[in-house]
Amino acid sequence: MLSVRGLTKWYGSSRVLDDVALDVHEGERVALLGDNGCGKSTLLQLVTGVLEAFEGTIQAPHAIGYAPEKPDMPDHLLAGEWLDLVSSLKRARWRDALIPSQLDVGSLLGRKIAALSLGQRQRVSLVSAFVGNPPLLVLDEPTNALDERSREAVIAHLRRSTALVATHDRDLAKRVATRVITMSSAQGMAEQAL
Amino acid sequence: MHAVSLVRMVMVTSGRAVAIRAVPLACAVGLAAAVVFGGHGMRPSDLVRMMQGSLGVRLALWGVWIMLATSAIAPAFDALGTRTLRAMRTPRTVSAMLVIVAASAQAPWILLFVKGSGALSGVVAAFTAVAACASSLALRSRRGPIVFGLAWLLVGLDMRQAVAVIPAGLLAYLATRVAWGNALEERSVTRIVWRAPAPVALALAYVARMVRSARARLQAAAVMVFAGSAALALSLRNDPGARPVQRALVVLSFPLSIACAILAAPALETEARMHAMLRATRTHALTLALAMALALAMPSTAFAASGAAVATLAANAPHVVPLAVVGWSVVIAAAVATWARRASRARRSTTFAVGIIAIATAFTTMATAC
Repeated sequence: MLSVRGLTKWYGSSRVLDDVALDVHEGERVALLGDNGCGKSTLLQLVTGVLEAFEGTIQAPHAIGYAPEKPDMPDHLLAGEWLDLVSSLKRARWRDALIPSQLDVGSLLGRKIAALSLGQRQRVSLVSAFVGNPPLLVLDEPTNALDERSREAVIAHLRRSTALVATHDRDLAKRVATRVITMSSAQGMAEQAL
Repeated sequence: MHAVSLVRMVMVTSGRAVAIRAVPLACAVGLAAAVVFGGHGMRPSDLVRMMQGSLGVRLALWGVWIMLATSAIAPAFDALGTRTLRAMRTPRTVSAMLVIVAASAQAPWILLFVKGSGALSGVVAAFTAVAACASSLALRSRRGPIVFGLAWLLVGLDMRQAVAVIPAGLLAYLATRVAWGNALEERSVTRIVWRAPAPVALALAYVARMVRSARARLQAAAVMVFAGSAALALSLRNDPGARPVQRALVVLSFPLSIACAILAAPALETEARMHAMLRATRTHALTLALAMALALAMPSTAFAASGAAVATLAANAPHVVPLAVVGWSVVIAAAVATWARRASRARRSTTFAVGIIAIATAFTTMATAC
């Protein structure tokens, strides 16, 4: 499903990722744990194609459901407009995704994204990642700012998916992941027992 | 809080936000004014006299100006940092300063009255315009419609004595207070973006940005195209026989190119904001190029079509003129869109401006050679 080999990424003169190798097979859910600034988000952005300049190879499916750490959506759009726009880009219907009702986005559709709280934005961002039920989900801190009910809905959905998840939330990793990988600036990546 | 610090804070929050919108508006109005008042054309005093002589003309011109200036002053009340200002609990001082900030956005209108009818007339026009613009932002509040109605009453009465400064100034202050109090209320928004083929949906998202958050740019683009259409109408009237279609394309090439360039920034900003989603969904470069062209073509073509239609009717020119202008404006929008996306990658506004002038010149030359 996802294969990363010899991935190295520089930001100016600082090396954020050094010769990273990672595989995510179908049905697997890999949790990336690690300190701030160790390169988790950079790795996810490289996998999804958000960042381009790197050394190494990345083989990823064409359709990826990606939710960045900071929900990055145009503030001027209504939540419903954003979801329709994402549906147009993915040639799918957001209402057909498995999760919108559990995340209760129906009540947010007529509101401007600028007016939504952080948790509400996160819910809309997650639904837009799940639109079209993509074969691979790449989620960066997916439970940030979510209330308990939404968090449980996301966990339940993730358990049925193939996913690469960056998180600080050890409980989320424990409940969702089939493999946990810890990242650190000094020691690189290491697989950790569940 | 120290008064100087408070003034500085209002200036860097509200003042800066208003300047960003008011400067392009002033430039566009200045260009239109250069056409109307340039050479042996009309003088500012003629226009002011026309307004003073006819209630209809007065209401129409005030209406157009208030529509243009309202979106320029709107960010004064909800710009980034104004929440901190609110927390300082000095609403009277802030409102008084906001009158000055909002009045600065009325500079072209004030200048018209000062040049046309003297300094006192300019001061009354400034306060009345601030009152009408600010209260129009608070029409859903309890006091907003009353202040708005009173501002229009002042316009209708056309008071020219020195005493008119007092009610106008008072109304301007009241209006900014009402607008300040109402600015953070959530407003209902009409839906513009729907599920559609990707380029269309993206273009609608860009247009939504122009309509909701970059209205001053939209208005500046409209002023640009309508000024061009006015020049076209004059040209067609003076010489109705000689190749009207060619003349329309020559006259409108420059305004249309500039209008599209004005509208490119909000579309590019929206595209940049959606970068992560566009990359993750592997959206094709051709889709993005098409979306940008469509987004620029929608408003500019609408302005061009309506401007050319009015010019054609006014000059009794052939009906094919607006159709030719529509086709021309779509091609210009596509050219500007392609250049805007290229130049945005280079991140050089000078390069962008030079390219736009080159595009405008190329289209004018092509139209001349037709």
